[in-house]
Amino acid sequence: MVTGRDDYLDARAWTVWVLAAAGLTMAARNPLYSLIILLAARLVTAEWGRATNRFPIPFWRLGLIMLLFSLLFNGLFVPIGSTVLFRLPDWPLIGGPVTLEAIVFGLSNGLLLWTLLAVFLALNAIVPVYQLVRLTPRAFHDLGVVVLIALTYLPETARHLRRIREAQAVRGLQLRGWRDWRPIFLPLLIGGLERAMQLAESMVARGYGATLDVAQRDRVRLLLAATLLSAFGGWLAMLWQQPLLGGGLVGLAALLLVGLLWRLGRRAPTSRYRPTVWQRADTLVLATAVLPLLLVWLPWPGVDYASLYYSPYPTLTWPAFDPVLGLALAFLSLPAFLRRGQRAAPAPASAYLPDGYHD
Amino acid sequence: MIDIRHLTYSYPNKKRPSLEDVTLHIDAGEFVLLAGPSGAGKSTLLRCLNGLTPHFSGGTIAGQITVAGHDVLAAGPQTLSRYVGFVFQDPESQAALDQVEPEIAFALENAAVPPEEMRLRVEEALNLLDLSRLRERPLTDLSGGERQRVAIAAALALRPRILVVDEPTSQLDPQSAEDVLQALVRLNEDLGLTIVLVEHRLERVLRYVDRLIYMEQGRILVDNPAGMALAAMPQQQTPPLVRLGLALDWQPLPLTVKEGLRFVPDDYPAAPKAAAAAKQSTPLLAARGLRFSYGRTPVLRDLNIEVAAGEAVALMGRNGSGKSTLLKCLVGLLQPAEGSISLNGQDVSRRPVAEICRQVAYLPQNPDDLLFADTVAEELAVTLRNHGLAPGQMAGGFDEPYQPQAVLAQLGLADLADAYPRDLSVGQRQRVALGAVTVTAPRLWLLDEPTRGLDYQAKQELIAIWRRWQALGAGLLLVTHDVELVAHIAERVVIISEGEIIANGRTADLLPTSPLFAPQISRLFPQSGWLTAEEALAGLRSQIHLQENYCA
Repeated sequence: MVTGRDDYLDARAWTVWVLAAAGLTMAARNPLYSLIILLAARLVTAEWGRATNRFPIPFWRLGLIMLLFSLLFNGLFVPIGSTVLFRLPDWPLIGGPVTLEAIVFGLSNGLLLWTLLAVFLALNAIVPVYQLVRLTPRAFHDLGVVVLIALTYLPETARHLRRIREAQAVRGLQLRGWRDWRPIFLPLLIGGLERAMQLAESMVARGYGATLDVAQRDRVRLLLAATLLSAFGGWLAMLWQQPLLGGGLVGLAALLLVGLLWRLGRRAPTSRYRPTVWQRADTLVLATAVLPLLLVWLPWPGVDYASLYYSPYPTLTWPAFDPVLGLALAFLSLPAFLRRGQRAAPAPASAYLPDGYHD
Repeated sequence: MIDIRHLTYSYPNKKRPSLEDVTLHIDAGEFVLLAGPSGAGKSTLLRCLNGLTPHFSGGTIAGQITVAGHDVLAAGPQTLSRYVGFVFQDPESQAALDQVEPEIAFALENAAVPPEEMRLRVEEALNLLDLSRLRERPLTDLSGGERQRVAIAAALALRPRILVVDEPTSQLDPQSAEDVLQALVRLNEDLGLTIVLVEHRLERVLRYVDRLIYMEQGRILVDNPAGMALAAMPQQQTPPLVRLGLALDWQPLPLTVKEGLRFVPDDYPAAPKAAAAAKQSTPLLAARGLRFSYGRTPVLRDLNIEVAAGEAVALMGRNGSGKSTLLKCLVGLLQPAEGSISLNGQDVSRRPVAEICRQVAYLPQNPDDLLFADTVAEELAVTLRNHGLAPGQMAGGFDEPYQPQAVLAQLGLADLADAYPRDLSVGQRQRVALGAVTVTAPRLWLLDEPTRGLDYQAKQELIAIWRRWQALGAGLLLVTHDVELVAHIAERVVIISEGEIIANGRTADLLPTSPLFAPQISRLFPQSGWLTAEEALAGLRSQIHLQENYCA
């Protein structure tokens, strides 16, 4: 039997986890809760993230930038709150009192943004892009392939651009006006086209598109025409005050659309390398995502839902905290403690010289 | 396995056919080497084997191609993909995805191979090419040789019976090239895979191939077992060892140094004592204490290098040893953290790139990055305009005024002044790029891998161009993996490793003793100081001459 690789969990489970974590971050606008989600996201990233998917900018620096920006913005622009720290002269927009409450509110907003970032960085670190693209339905297989190829092709183009800039600088080119970009743009364009042709050749030589079932094409067209006709007819019928007929036709169109997608999915039969198999651990990850959602969104008795919204105005107070909600959010960190199989060996550090810096 | 009859093909809008009346038969399990100058039609012939030509390129075709029992012209490349695996020259532009395993599985997914079998086939391909260690790495982290092996693995995933490989090593350093070729040999010997290979550096593959086909101008001129084919080929297209063997009539013709050793006389003349060091003058280029790092990875550590007027220095070392980085530091594209660089005794550290490059010609690895103008002449004029110079005005250090026309003539491009640069052959494009950086008549030349992908003739032309400038007193710093080029051109060799100079000396002293960098002739006559077939021939002949005189 073919199993998914045991050291990775299913991309679908992670996607739900990330969506839940992001939704909860937006729902729980309280710095204490934000902090819990932030810690959970970092714990999970540390346990499941891959060295090769690491974000180029250090996480703490991103956080510092966000906190600082949010603090300055809110502190300077919002002159509300009772604890005035100092007064700015009457400058337009930012003049007037600077209050402790505005600064605290700015900080708590910054923390919220930072948490949101941590959640999406977790997705970036844990799930390879190609697995994400594979979540698209089969009918969009070609589109998925195009996205994946673009992800390979674009960084290559960036490296190419750097090489060309160097080559032209050596000829004494200085970039003053837009005309000076011609020596850079033309080789980039021509070289890019050459690379695209080469890639197309290489894909054809490897049988890309060989399984395309040409006989299916006419049936797909027929289906498409029928779908459009019934949708249009349904819309007309609605206009002519025939709700029953109209609704029926629109329903038919919806059915036809499903059939069309199914047909498209079968048009070019493909298979998937290492198809992931849903495992118990995936169910657990899913549970850690869904449970806090249920706790926060359903009205359970005895839970202080008001603590989800924290406002320091008009006078600074300590944010409220409900242990049940706190515990629910802490659930998000549980995937970090799931037993995982053998971890992939990290690549040696020497492999991380930026490309093009090799001789 | 492959049967081609009277194949004639012309690209669209080209009058001359690229292939003319080609008839060829290749049996299952053969390892065939396809040689010939660039533009001979080798790549076009390869593309005919799986139908990329003419299905992809258009044009007119006549004749018959049968591969694995299929009529290629009727079936097309997608059907043929099951029988013919294709590996292209550039490892970077043939990968569809950016990770090793998905890249190998790509063809299998699109062929709807069931997951169980797909897993097995990917695993096989990984093992055959010795890639299992790298399976999860992104392709951008791999070296050129590793990427090329991934490309071969990806081509093998569909289990083709024929592997077609178009100059797989032209972008690689000797060690990576050797790994790739060894992988091909293994596939041929262990699996009985039929292999058709195009390769310029014949000396690397001669010993492995069953047959050598030599092409010129779209025709097959020679098609024989390697030994016989070499004797029938134009001599300047053969490796130095073969040239020497042919000149001295060694039978059977040695293809490897090992085979050649039994012809070496015991009493070949030993090298004369090295001449006294040349008198010291102000060097053209002097760089002292250069340090450079990318992030926390040191690339150059306290590096000193000098180039004198009229001197050619070869900079050698493995990929990633810091050679290209050094050249970029010298022209100011990268700023060294420490150290000084002076040209003609003037300190140029931290000067703008444009200012340094009036006195220095720097030719990057890929000449196509330079070319954008509509004509060859314009390509040269643009550089002069960039520097704010009128034709004939001088900047670089030579006193006599220099005309673009004269530069073109020197480069052998006078007839092509109005041609569109990108339509030219690789060797010609290389010379246009060289013209574009040398039109300011600089005294110092920095060339980065100038012979990548060039055939023997183009290399000879490059050497001849350099000789003329050398006679005028120019200096050359050359980064290359091509030991035979170094043997011909360089007086001094500098070997660097991990950003440090580990050897620096006369070519004749340093190269023969190095197991990695010794040219073929030095391996044959280690004590002689000869580097090229011509030197060996002259040396051996004068010895024979002396002996004859003595006997008389």
